[in-house]
Amino acid sequence: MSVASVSNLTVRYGTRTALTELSVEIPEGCVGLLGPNGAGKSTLIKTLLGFVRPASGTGEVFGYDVMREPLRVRQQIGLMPEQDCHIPGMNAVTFVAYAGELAGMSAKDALRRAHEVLEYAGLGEARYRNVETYSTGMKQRIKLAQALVHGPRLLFLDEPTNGLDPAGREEMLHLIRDISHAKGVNVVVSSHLLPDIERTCDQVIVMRAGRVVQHGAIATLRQTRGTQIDVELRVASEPFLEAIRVRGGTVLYQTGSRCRLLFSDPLPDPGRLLFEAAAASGAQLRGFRPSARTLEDIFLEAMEEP
Amino acid sequence: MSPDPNLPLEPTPSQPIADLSYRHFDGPLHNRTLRWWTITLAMIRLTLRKPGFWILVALAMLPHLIRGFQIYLQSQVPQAAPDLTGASGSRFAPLFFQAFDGQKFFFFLIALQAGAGTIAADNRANALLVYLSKPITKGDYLLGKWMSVFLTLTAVALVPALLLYLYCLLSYSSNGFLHREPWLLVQLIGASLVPGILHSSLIVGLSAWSKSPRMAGAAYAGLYLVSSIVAVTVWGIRYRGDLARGVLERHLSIDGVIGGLAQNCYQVTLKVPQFSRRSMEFQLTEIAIPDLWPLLLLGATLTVLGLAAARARIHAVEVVRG
Repeated sequence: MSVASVSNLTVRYGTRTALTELSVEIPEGCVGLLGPNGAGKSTLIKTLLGFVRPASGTGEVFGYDVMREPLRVRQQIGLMPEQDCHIPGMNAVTFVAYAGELAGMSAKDALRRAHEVLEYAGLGEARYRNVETYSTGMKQRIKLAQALVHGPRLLFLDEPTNGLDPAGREEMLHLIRDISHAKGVNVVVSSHLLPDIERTCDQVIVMRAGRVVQHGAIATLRQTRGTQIDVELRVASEPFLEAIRVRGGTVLYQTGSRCRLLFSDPLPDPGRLLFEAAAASGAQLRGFRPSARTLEDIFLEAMEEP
Repeated sequence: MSPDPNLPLEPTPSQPIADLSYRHFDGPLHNRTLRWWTITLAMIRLTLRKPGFWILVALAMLPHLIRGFQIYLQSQVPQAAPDLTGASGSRFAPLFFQAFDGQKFFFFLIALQAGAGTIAADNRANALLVYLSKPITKGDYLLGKWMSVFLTLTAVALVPALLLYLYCLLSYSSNGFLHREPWLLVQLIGASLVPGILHSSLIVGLSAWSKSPRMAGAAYAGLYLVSSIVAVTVWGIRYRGDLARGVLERHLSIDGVIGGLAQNCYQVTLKVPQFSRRSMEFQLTEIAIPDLWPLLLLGATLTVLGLAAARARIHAVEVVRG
């Protein structure tokens, strides 16, 4: 079941088209939104929030039309923006409670809830400090707290680990994983950091030039076609690669003395085949292992596809 | 039933005394029709926390306090105090207008303090992303911000005027106060609304176009002071022979519009000193009430311009169109 979807969505900024006839469904759970700069990730989030008016197409969040019922949509959503944002002159409790009231909570509920989410976000001790005095890491946490205060069913996290030190990043990723996997909140994480997505998300949507080029469960996308083997030679050897081709293999890529080989048919004994090819070409084999596709591989392949 | 002796009496440090994990909020989320009121209330609270604001409020109350003291003095020692009866025959309306006139500069200062940062500070802190990602429309946001300045200024204008009115009512009702001033309450309420409407619209409009409250404040201060100085100087030069003429030109400024509309509300004439070459001395020249409709039109135009300028700049995200 999808929590949000867009259909034939086209968004233009003047003469530039940011999203072209985009159709995608955002499934339940934790979804990573990947893509290079200008791919349209932020535009997609802005359109679902009703910040940007599309030239054509439709969008829905939990069944509410994003163009016709933007306020209902926003009541279901929490946004943690990429850039620093706060209400000037307020301490953390007042700020988060105010965010709750803006979302429609009663003042009493909002205040109680502000204390809860600040504790959860790790700002319990600093809750009475003015937000302007917070460090970068604390500002990231308070952005998460204000997004969570009204109990949204869907959270948009835009670059949630920006500016965090390794320990802070670890804690933020832990929070995201906890919210999405243990607390049942649907989360969309937009990030350039592939390891962050890999750590937190189950599904991924890869965008390029305003279109979706790859989407699905990360576990499924990581599965390799045929038999793929990563090989390391002592020095790069073209005769070795030629010997592999002769034996029915395909060279997926070569970086220095490393290469990835694909065999469409299952290989009962890949080691034997590789040693034979090395012996035939005079190459020296340093090591080999079955390939495991990383998210980076999926991303790079998606970027290279025509 | 005795407690289990094996249970620890106090929680150990590893045991939290409260559940600190995330719990989903299932309480009601209201679709309020007065969503802007949440913003207004929060902004007023922030303004009330500024010590400078209270100093200005105290100073803004002085004109009414002084007029009240004058009235008291006249009732106690009629020979020692000047006669406060206006030339128009209504005794109290000129007093209220004079007190309002004395407050005008403080309205401007309070507008700077309460209004310069309304949207400019939000622009600097990217707060619009917080506001507009919640179920709040641009109109709610603008109205909330505008109302916070408007209500602050109106309260500063209205509260001392109402207190003075109450004092006059309690002290002079047996002397025909209500009979002689039947519309004074309506007049003072009308006059008190004018600075709030005009100042809040203009300062919110300028604030929306800036990322610095100081810059927005400086721009408004420049606009307010320069327009006042230019209008009065041009009027003084053009009609130096007879200051009773060119009344409308005198009010072609923000301060002039506020003063002129308040003068219309109270229906009082002004007396300004003018140097007479014949008698070689200063004489008081009576200046008529300016025409209402041109001033109302100018005031309405400035208000709409301010609000439209603010509305044009309120975006959750900056969209660069190429």
